[in-house]
Amino acid sequence: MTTWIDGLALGLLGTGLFFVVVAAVGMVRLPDVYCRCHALGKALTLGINAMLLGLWGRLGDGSIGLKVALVVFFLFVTIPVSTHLLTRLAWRNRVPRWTKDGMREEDDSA
Amino acid sequence: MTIFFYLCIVVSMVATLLCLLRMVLGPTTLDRILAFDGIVICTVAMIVLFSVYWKTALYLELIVVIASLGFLTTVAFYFFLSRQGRSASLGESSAPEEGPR
Repeated sequence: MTTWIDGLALGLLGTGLFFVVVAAVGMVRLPDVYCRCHALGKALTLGINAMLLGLWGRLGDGSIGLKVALVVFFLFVTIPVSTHLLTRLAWRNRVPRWTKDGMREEDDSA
Repeated sequence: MTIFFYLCIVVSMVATLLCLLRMVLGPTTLDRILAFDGIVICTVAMIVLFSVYWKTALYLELIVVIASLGFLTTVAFYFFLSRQGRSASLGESSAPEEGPR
């Protein structure tokens, strides 16, 4: 029973760390602001929430679950909200975006 | 367990350094704010790793405080940059001739 939960916790921790590293590599490799917001808003949310659930399984206490659920809810709301704010600001200020033909600047109709 | 913990710490440090590289390289100001958000979340991941290793629940409040500070700085930068012009969020120096002559 206990070893099963410990193994699940370590698996969740490793999976979450993998997704955090994927988001960080995407921050460096992707070409413009919108793509980087996509990398950080989805992969980083999944990774950090999996790591927090792994922490809950490692601690193995029922009363810790409320705090972990609070942190998971908070991060699950705030990371996509902040990336959405940055994308909205970039779109409103007509930051050049990446297409297959190179960087493209929007005209004033946007 | 200890080897696994050291490996995880090194990997999360690499993730933080990649976000820091984007913060240095970033062509626009929005890239730098986004990289700062990534650094904050990588710090939260490192705190989670340390509390897994020490098997303590003391640092969950620290996680809440750091995550809310990162979100508040992002929102504050959003409201600051939405009042400036376009060149502020592109990171260009808008009017270099405004300085004292």
